[in-house]
Amino acid sequence: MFVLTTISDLVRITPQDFRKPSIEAIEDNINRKYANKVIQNVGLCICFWELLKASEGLIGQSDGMVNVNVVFRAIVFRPFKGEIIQGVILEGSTAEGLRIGLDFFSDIWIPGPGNLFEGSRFTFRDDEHVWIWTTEDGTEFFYDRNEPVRFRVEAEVWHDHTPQKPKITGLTSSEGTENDESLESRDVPYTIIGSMDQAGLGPIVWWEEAPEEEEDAMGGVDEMEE
Amino acid sequence: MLILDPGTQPLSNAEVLAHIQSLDAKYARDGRTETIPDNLRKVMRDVKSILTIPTQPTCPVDTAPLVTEAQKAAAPTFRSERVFAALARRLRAKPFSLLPAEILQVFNHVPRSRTELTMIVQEGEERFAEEVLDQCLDVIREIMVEGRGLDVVNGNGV
Repeated sequence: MFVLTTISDLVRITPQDFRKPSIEAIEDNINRKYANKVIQNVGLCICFWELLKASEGLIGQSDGMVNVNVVFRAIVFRPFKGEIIQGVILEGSTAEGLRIGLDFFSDIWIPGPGNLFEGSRFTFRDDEHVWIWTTEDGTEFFYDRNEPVRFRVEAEVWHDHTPQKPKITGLTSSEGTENDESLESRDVPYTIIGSMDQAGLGPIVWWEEAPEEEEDAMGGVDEMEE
Repeated sequence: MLILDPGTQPLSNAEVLAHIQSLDAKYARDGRTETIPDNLRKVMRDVKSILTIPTQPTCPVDTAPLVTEAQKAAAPTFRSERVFAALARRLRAKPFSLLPAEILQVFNHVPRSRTELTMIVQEGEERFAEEVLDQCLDVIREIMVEGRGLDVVNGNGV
């Protein structure tokens, strides 16, 4: 789910950082600008990986900052379509789907019931709303909160937040409302749409091979030793 | 800012975790833990926490709670960089001929059962016979769990 991205940028080192070695100042500067930030159509930047090129530092007019042209590589989170990823079910699941999170990225939606196992439905049980999958033989499997799950990446949705020129037609500013996904009511820059409808996906405990028979392990797919 | 390469080189979870742990060690050694930016500190902490939950193969075995002896013995090893090279060499060769994306996912998930393997390999049940799937699981266990087969210079011609 991680890739290395090569970026070229201008790093401006402030005079307070002159006492640091250059590589340290450049690395901190890049991390301050890129770590935990989404670049449109590239992904969520995690951190600096390595420096490939750095020019000589040129001092700008009137502000004393040292300008360095750098080319570097950064770790970026961007899963490819069809990739299987492990995450955790978060709260905020609704009748429209489940919300999954990796600790550093919380905008993963599994639209339900279409992208879940057939027979899944959103019901009220034990004082809370929860998604439950009922198999053909009547066994119920719960999509519990904080449960580690595996899901497949199906699509990604980007929302560009760069400031746009103001429109003069008199329409309100929320003109980009023809969303493909009806559950996309939050305007986050990067959303992943996933699915959990194939064998092996969904909560990991469902597919674990147990030495003794467990009440919530799947039968018939993984053989259990009697 | 100019994106020269939007991300054609993939990284495995183990490599990212190793990089972040080496950054932690470097910052601790140089006394920079307090001066690194807050967003970096947060994302490093969060990436480490999700990659070390007990269900991830990258979870450190000796610190994971509630791990049985059998689970410890079955834990994959990422200690050697040659593990990935050896695994990739065996899985690229016949009779598996897995795609690079599938080999990366094998390394990230370390499938132990046929269900997990067919989840990762596209159309696994159509492409491979059951014996070949079992053979693939044996290769994965041999290289990643038992750590054997790392010193083979020429492929064994599985």
